Amino acid sequence: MSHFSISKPAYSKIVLHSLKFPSSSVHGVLLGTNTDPSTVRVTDAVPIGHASISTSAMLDIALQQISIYAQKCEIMIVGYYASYENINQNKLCISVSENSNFKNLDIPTLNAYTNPGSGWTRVSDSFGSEPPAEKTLAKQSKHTASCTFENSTVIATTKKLVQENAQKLLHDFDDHLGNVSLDWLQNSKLNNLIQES
Amino acid sequence: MKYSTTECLERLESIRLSGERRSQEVVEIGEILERSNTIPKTDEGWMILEQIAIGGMDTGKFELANACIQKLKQMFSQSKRVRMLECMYLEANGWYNEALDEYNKSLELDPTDMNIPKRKIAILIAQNDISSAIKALLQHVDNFPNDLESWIKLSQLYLDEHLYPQAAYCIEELILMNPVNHFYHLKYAEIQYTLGNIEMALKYYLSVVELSRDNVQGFYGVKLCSDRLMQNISSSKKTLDSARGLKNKNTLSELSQLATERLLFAYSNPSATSEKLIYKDDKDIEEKPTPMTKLVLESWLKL
Repeated sequence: MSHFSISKPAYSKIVLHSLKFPSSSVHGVLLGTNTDPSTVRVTDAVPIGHASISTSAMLDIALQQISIYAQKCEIMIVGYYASYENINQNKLCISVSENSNFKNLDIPTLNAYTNPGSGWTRVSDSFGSEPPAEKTLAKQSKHTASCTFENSTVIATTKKLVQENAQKLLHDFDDHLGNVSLDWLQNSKLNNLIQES
Repeated sequence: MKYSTTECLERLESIRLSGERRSQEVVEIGEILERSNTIPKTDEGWMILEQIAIGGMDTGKFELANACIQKLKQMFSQSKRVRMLECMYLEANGWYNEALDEYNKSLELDPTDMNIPKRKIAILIAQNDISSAIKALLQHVDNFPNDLESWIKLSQLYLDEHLYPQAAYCIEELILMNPVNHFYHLKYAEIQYTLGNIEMALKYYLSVVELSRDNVQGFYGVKLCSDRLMQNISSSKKTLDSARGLKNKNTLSELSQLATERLLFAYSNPSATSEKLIYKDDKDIEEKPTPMTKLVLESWLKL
């Protein structure tokens, strides 16, 4: 049983990112701390792309720059999120690292969770961390994650931001490539709005 | 938002011209116009009704969309274009079988229509039946090989399925049809990089920066690829073919340096390099990169 807590800026950025590009798949990474191996604190999200999430050149650059940024801020890359174009696919997928160091990432340390509406459950196939034969119900139940929001205002704030069309303030790395003055790493203007809300 | 009618019409026109999918905004403006009943009964007015209808379907404002479609239907009861909107309305509501029946009926009347097969493919995509969509789209580009839009969609579908060589093939077709469009070269470079063909990717990133002025993504690609190729050369002991073209270490280091210079220039003069969209929300756009983005860039360039 693992646990991750999601902060207000992280959650609202994920939601606003998928809302800004309703007709594209979007993805980005999660920043935070992972002091205790069973608890991941997700404090912020950095939106990467919406143009094409399945080619890797600009993703490589974005990841390299995010790790430089994370080092400067003394936080870690703790996970990845993706929200897909087609609503029939998993609506939102969040992967968090359960081992203490995301830098030494190998496949089994990264676990994907998806929330089809009934709670967060682990996606067992896509990351191949387990041979299919071992997949019994009992085993799967061990891999449900508990996900909590940092405090009770996360959902309410996000709803408010959505109503205010705050996604206009959010920029990802793809936007940044089109106009380098757009702040994709911190999204400072949006941060201010989130703080005020 | 408070706009005068003229402002509303101007904003809608600029969105139509730029071809951007700003459905949210179209709907916001559309609602103002609908409420005040100020959409002119002119050729422009009919186009606006169509635009608002599509925007409404895109954002789930079905009542608004339906109102626009009904107005168009009163005016053009026999129009194929209005019929298409009605079918799209069925699709937007998820009534795929009903929409398919209508499309098939229209196809019987006019088997040469190019847009109906595309709507049928859109239904397959919406139903997440990607392999059937790919099959249908292959048939479609066979019938209409000059349909650029369909080649792009086909390559996207292949990419979603991680079928990179097939996606690359579609882009090759597009480059052959339109060899000076740098967007296709960019796409091709991205796919080749993903396939691990770094040298090929570098060649296409170079043609991107040649075909367009100070293309940030292009120079990022040049920097990424030339640095990686240099690393490969240093780590392998083979120096025999190092004199050949792009594998020459000096050439690579010069390219890397050039990209570094151009990227630094772009970050110091953002207005000279940012994408020129016809439609732009000036108030939302900062003028300069933030100190943090610049700091991160500089340390990424290893200065």
